[in-house]
Amino acid sequence: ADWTRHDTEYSPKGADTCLKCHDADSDTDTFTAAAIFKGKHAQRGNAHAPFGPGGLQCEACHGPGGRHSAGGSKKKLTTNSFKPDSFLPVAERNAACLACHQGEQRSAWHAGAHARSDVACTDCHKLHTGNDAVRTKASQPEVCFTCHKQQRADFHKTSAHPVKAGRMACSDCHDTHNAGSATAMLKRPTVTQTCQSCHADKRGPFLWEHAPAAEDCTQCHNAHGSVRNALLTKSPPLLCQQCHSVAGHPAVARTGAALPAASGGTAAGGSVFLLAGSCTNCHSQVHGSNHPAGTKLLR
Amino acid sequence: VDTAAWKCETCPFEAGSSGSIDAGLALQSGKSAKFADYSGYDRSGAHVLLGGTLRHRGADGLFADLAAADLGLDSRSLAAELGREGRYALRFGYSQLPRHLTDSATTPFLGHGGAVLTLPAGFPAPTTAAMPLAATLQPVDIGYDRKILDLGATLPTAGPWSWRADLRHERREGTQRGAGSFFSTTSQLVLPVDQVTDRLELAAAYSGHALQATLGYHASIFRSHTPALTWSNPFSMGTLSAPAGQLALAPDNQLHQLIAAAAWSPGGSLRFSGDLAFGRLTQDEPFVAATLNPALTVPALPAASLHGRVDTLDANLRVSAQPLAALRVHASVTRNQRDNRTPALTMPLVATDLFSGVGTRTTLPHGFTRDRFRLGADHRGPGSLKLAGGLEHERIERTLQAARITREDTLWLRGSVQVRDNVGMTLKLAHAQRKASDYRPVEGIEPPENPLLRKFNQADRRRSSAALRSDLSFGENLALGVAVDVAVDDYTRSAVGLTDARSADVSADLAYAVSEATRLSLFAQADAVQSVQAGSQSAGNPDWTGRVKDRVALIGAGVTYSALKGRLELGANLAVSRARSETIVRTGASAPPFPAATTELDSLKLFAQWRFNDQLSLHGSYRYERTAARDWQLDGVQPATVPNLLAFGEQPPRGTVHLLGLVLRYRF
Repeated sequence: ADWTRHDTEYSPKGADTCLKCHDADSDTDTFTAAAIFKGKHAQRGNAHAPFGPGGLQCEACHGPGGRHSAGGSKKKLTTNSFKPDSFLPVAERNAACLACHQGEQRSAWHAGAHARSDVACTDCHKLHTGNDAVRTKASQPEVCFTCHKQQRADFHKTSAHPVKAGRMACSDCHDTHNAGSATAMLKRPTVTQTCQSCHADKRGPFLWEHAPAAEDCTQCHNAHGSVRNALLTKSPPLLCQQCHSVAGHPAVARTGAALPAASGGTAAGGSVFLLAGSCTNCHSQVHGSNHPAGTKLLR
Repeated sequence: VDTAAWKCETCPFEAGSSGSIDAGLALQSGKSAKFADYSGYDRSGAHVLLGGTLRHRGADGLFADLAAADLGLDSRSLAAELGREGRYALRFGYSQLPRHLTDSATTPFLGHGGAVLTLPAGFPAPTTAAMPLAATLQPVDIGYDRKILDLGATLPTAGPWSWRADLRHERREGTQRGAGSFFSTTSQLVLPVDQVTDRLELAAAYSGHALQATLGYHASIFRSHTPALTWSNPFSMGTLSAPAGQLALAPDNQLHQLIAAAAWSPGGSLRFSGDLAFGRLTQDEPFVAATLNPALTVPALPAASLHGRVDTLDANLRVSAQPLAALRVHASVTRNQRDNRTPALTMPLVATDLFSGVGTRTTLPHGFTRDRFRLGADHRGPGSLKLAGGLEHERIERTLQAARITREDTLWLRGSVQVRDNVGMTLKLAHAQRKASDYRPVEGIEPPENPLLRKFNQADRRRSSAALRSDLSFGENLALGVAVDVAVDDYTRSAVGLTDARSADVSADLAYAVSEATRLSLFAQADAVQSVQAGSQSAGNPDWTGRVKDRVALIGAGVTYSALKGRLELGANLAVSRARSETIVRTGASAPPFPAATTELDSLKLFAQWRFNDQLSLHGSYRYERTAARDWQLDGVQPATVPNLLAFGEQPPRGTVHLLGLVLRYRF
């Protein structure tokens, strides 16, 4: 923030001034600033940190506290509180963070969906705490789900990446600070490259390719969760029949008649085209085949 | 600013070492693959719970952090970081991720996990009913473990220049599902998984006031130690004969990528940024034989391996500016290119090790170039009103696919307003229209595709969506959020294929601080997805439709309670979800309906913590999880149910697990 237009100066004693009120004995968790000393910002040995040699301490981020610390001043109108009710617009609040954190990971913050939606750094990050939840794998998703409700529902489905189990974080796939990918702020330039960073076995290139697998995994899979096995958006054969209708068995409508009698069908034993893996009972190499005879992804 | 007098005498800087050790036991009752998946709780009985943290803060910014979790389980993890603040940081990590795909599969094949599956005496047989399955089926747990080793370094961690290196070595071992067929008969097979992926990232970054730039290299090298799986044919096929088949497993491949990124602020609010990544993906695994059947005569292959090569280009240029205090504008141009340089090979046609000499097939090395242009603006005011809007244009040019070029234009608008101090609302509307330049079935695919089919990713489409968010607060202690999302896709010219898709999602969240000691959160969500597709049994005009309707409802609740000045903490989390999927296929003739596929997933977590003193605390937990799924595709389908399918007999996930844990934590 440009504090010159706010007619204020830095406090005479820096953090010692602030801690007169915002000390560990403050009456509420949100008022005390003590926990900042558990984080990287309050490291004396780091010349680049706010509390390093010559650093502006609390005022490095909150702005000059001369007026704020003066008796009778309007407290909320004299400091960058970083809170949602701050008098400063989000971009100005964020500027305090970006002044230092504008390197490799955040150089394109300005162009990302979060910046365009007026997301404040402190909407996700908590600095005055020993453990910033959004930086911990197990607790990060709950922070993201504050806004991304649909994804929360998806991760509660039976087939999902292990986000609910705390073994994967949203930031394993998404680069929330950058906009290097034109799709969903992904860590890699495309959806497929992102998926293949963990699923490199699906990368090929294969002798016999399955075009959608090479182009965009989300044509068949919902990366966040599905009620179907393997995160599929739809069960085969209908999944496959959306794109394959050549004469012969791919074009045949599979109705409930193809179920075994025990499931209400009329087929003797049920149909190989419908049950168990359905199409993948034979076309098992759906991501591509490197077999000389794999033209129909059967080998 | 003269900070000479800023002594920070009252600053409680952290110094010295601290940490914790967790030790305890968990008692598990019941088991299910779904519960074991990723968690490592894969059996009834006792599990050792072991973990801990170590933290050190020294003079001159020296720091060390260590965290270990679940050391007694197959999901164990260890992460360490040490260094000097602002100067360097070294990272180490080890973790395991257990996958339990199913525990209800059975197979008569011997040697699962290896490269050759054989059959016991009594095989082959003409149908599954004639196979000696009662005596030969064995249960097999299908799944694999990921073991991940991470090493990384950054130096310095602050200042204009920094260098970063990260190396990940990941090994996957175990099994996964597969299948192999001979003409009209097929078997579900246990595939071996023995794979290693090494990933290296190097980056040099400059971060100045107006200019930031990064130059990087990314490599990902994948190796599979089992290039193929051979399996004995369990089916006897009369005059046709194929004793064994072979599947080619995932081939070794490599990705190398050079990455450059820069951002520049020339002055004022103007800011440019861009990324450029050149990649090369290669694959040259030697081909396996076209068939293992010695009775077939197969012409020589045109090459011994693929010499597969794909060049990728990913470029992105963005600019944003704030020409007026209340107005921001932004624009971007993106190109993602997959230039497939793999030679097209004409291979002799061999069908499932049974037929050969009936022609050739030529490979189709697909590629595409996707260009996106985006322009948007947002305006603050008057008052609390915020308006934003934008235009997007996407053009995809594909090679060797049905539609050579598709173009899509999107218009979106968003408005948000703070009605009073305690009510905020945001509405976003978007409409997109996609057109394919021309659409014709790909030549070389035999038999040819129905000319009326439109693959949904290349078809003309109208897409509309709306999203509404509302946040209400009632005092400082009660907050309510409501969100509604609706989307409709209309495939306007698809006579055959996906013709219509729509989704709706409604959610409500409530957070209530009942008192300083008690906090409550509730959420409820309902999700509906529906699609319609048309098919043609005559490979001409549409003569059947398929409709899939998925509905998911989810309710969650959480409560925490703190008492006795923090000595006692209690909490509970509950999540209940119900999913129902209906499939309706209509051909004009009477046919039995599909039963609904349903999933019930209930989980309850209770936890309690009693702090004896600053060093010692006891943590108790109870977890309950119940999964109950019904799926007509698997329900009651035993290995011999289908005459020409030797199935696993895998059943939908079902099971109830209780897990009682007690951990003693010692802090130092």
